[in-house]
Amino acid sequence: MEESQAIPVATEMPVATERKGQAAAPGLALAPLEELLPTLSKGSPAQETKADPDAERSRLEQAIRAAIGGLNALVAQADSEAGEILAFQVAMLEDPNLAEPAWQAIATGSPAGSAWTLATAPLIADFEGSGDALFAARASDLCDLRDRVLTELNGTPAGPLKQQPGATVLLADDLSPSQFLSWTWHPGSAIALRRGSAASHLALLARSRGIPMVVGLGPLDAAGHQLALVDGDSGRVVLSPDPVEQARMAHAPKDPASLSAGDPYVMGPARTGDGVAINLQLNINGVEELAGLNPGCCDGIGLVRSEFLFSQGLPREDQQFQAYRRILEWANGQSVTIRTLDAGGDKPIPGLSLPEEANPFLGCRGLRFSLAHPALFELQLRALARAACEGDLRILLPMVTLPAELDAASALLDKAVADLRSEGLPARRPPLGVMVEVPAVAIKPELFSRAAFFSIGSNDLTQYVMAAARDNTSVSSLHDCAHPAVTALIEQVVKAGASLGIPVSLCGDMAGDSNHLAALLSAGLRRLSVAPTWLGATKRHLAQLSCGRS
Amino acid sequence: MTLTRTVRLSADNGLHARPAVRVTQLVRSFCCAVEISLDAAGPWIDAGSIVKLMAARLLPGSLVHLRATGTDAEAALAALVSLLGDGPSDGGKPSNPSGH
Repeated sequence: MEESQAIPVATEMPVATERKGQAAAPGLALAPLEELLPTLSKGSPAQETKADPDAERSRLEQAIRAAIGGLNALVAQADSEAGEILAFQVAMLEDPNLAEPAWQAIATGSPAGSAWTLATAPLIADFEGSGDALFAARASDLCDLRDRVLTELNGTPAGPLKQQPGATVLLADDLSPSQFLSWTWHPGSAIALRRGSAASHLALLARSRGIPMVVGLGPLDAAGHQLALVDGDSGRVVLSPDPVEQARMAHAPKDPASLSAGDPYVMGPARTGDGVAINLQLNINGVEELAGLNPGCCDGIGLVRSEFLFSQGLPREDQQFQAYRRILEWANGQSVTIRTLDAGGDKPIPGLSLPEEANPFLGCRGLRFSLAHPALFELQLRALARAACEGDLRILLPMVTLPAELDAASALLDKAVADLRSEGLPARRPPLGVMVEVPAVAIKPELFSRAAFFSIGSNDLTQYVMAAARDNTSVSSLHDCAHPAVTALIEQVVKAGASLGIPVSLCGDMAGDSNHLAALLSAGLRRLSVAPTWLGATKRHLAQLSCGRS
Repeated sequence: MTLTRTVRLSADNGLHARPAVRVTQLVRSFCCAVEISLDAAGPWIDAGSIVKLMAARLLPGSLVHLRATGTDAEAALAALVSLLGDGPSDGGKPSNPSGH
């Protein structure tokens, strides 16, 4: 360890440090910060005297066998997702081709550790340098299995992780799947990585375990910080968050999986203190976020961010269909609103080459991107039209700016339905709604009379109205969704919706923030959609508000 | 006997990690030797070796050549084509039942 850990001066609270990374697993956490320092993976130390080939060979054989044994023990405790990931490492270790170069190196006098590092290095370098996101993400699996064997050789106890007794925000450059699996994840924990990838096996594991994770934070000095907030939905990480932010977090249940059990409000009614029923739906990134939740806790799903399907490369029509169908099954007859792919320069998708844009927030994103990639879009519309036979599915189009874009999407949807029927596949044309996030739509919603519904995306609407990018911390004070200009537009959309007979809901972060609920109610909104984490807190705050006054 | 087939990997599925493990498991469930190549002229690599398959980095949409030698070569190739390919395979039943 090269840095001497100075004891932080207790008198002064370190100043809040905020970074924006890439959201890799959803959820919110606020917990003590634990930094994981890089492991030494450079092979055995330099005692490079002539090694005895026979002894070194049998040491390496034993280490590989022990590593396989350790992995198999983990497989036995893992769920199927984690099991498959580990099975890949086991298969690699069991393949005699992997160690082949090591045997040759040992025969010429290399010690076991350097021989093993030498054998695995070209594969790792090859993967890291491959242009393909999925292969590149596999490099971390290879480093993981290399280090497992090195750990066995060096006889150091497995993993440098210092297990903490409670919830922890783990900050590291990167984390390996086996480090993840060897750690006891107390409810409320989260992961923040300076590097890492949303396409990694680690991200899959984090999502399936419900551990919020943000990757790609870049250089981040944690010295002196003891507490961290991780928002796995927006990709935001704050070290030493200020008391206001902490207080806001305190109202959020920390473990989404235990929502139903823990918070009596979760299953309660969504109603204001003066008895006005609020239609309260959920925002989700994938069906696994619904695990453990009773569909009776909400009025359906107000926003499914379909990007989750694209985190492992482009999904086939059938994969999409199955994923949508599972969400509809959970919803049990309640409505499920699925947003079509919201890709763009700020939201990269593995396997898709996105345009290099100087200003991606003002570029080819959302529906603009989908209309520019009709083959990809049609595939998604086909899967949605097929799934629509299985429940109350609705389609939400992101980043709509012009009525002509809605019409173009509508024509593509008609075509998808007709194609499916001519192929003999059951299909239904779901209602097509417009996400209100571009000011041009919020200012003139009446141009969109053909929309089946409006859903206000308050995060993007705020950044466009305030001209303050939401990922730019230097203007974060301007990114204020409560600014009268933003709330006036929200009110205007609600009024236009009422006169057009188009239902209006709001699905941005604003709905989950108790500070803004009163403003939303007084703007006339009665339909909101929040992250599962905020469900109980939102119902609790609604009960304290009334619609009668402002 | 030695048989060969070609198959285009489906556009969204390269042979990385887990799909590659499935290929090696399938190959090893047959007695014949199965090799895979990006070129009909070779070099051929052992489709039963996860290390070789990963190193070959077979990307989504690539056209791959399969070569099998042994008594159950035909069945092995049919099963592999159905595992790897996009479209319906001619002959041979899909190896995995389409469950949920």
